[in-house]
Amino acid sequence: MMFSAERLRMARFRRKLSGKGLAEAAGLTPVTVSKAENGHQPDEATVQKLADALDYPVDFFFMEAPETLETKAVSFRSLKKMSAAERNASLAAGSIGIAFYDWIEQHFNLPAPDLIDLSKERDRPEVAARLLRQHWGLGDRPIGSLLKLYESKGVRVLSLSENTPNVDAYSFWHAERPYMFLNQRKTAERSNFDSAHELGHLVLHFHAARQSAQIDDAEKQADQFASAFLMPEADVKSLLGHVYSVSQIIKAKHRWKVSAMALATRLHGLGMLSDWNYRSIIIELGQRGYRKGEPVGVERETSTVLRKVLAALWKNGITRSEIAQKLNLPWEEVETLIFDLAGHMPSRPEAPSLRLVR
Amino acid sequence: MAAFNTAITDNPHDAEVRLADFGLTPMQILTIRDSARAAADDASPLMPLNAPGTLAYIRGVEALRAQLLDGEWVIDRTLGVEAVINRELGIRIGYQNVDKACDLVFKPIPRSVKGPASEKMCSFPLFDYYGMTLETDHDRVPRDDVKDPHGDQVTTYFVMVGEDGSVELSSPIIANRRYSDFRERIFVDRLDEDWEDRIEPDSEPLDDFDVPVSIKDKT
Repeated sequence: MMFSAERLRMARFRRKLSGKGLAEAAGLTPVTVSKAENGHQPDEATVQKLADALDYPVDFFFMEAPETLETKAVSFRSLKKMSAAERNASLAAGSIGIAFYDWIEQHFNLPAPDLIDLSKERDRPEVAARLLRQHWGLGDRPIGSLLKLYESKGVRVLSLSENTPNVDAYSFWHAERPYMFLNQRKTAERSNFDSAHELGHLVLHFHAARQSAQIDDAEKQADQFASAFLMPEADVKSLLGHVYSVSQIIKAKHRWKVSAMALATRLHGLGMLSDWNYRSIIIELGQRGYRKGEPVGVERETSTVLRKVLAALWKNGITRSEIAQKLNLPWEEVETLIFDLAGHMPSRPEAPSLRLVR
Repeated sequence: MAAFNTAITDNPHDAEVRLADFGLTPMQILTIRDSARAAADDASPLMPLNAPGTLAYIRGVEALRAQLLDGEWVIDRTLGVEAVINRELGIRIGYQNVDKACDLVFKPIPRSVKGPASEKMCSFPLFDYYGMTLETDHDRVPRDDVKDPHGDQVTTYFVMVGEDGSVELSSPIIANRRYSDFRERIFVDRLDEDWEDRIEPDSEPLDDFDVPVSIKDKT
């Protein structure tokens, strides 16, 4: 098997090293690293040095060329805020996520994707949200369990490995499969809104086959989609009549599992809060600490697919670190992908059950 | 096409709301259907075999335009499809006779003069022999080798009227002059069954989504 230059670059991006930085860490010349990244086959000693410096298994570099992602295919909300290193690290994490899910799919039957193409409704995100709800038979009811809904519709949900404030979440289509990476360090409410925002991107701005065009209003559209998808107009209006106080909003937000700020914004958008009321409510929410956090919060959701998969592997005596080994990945790379998403797991796998051999 | 499914609006209330997105009402679609059906019924046995379809088509297109033209909707003939277009919304609507509309299982197929059975019976192509061709609804499906200059901005829908009077407003994906699939189907009226009255929906949050995950059988 050949040494894969793409894989070397990918591992370097994951470690947020420059070519020069890697050369220094590995005790090699920048020219050697550059050559290896441009397809020259490095010798065994060099490969070992690179692997050690990157803390990646040697075998990782001798696997088939990875599925790589391009910036334009991915919805990065805070593209401008991110440094190139952060962006490259996130893209490389996306590739690792694909490899991880491909591995899962080799061993497990998973729900098939069931999204509809709503790109022609992108100028009317509220309509798009209604159509998707309709397609999924949700009516106007609030969604009690978002991740479960997405996963039942074939969306592959993973945790963002770069849990930095600079990246909220991102999503992309790859090989006709929708992927969503969520920041698990944010409040559950923020995470819910982010995931609905990414769902908006997946149906409004991306195609299974096509590359996404640069759309100026894409972020605004995805926000409007998320707001309408999570808080259907009819449901909000039937539950909230005259809104005048912050405490009403804090009490009501649980129904839609959104932040108090998001509900206030939705009420304002629906004309249920006047400009003046909206402004004073936002100020009061800020004073009560709702700008940075969510004092009376809901529980964070977990991934049903990952929980089921890991539980089944556990039962067969396969640990997370063994999954990492099978993928030739450092253990912590797999761990970050499922960070907080798989729910609580016992620290030791059960012993494999004994089989009767005749 | 595997990744995206057809968006289907199959109950009257949702259909009304969806049509309102295009500034249309179910009544307008029903009027188009009624005009087309009345025209088809006018065909006499002495007329050519394709008369009912052709008359329905002619009157259907006329009714479509009579119902919709209002300044925002204007006449459009791109690719030879007799239609109306609303450039603001990026929507074009044509008319098409189909075998049956509003069926979840059997998707609409443009009507042709001869069914497969009659095709077998009439192996001798009489009209072709004399250099004549009878136009059918199939022939009015736009060719896919001609590219719509506004294809990326305009979505084409057809008012699809079935032989039984069922009618839907649907956006097909056309390949090889056939409807290979549908982007969206909005069921406006079906005659074979009464629409069920919607039961007042439960309003509690939904969370019982089924996420089936199972180990693959390696044998």
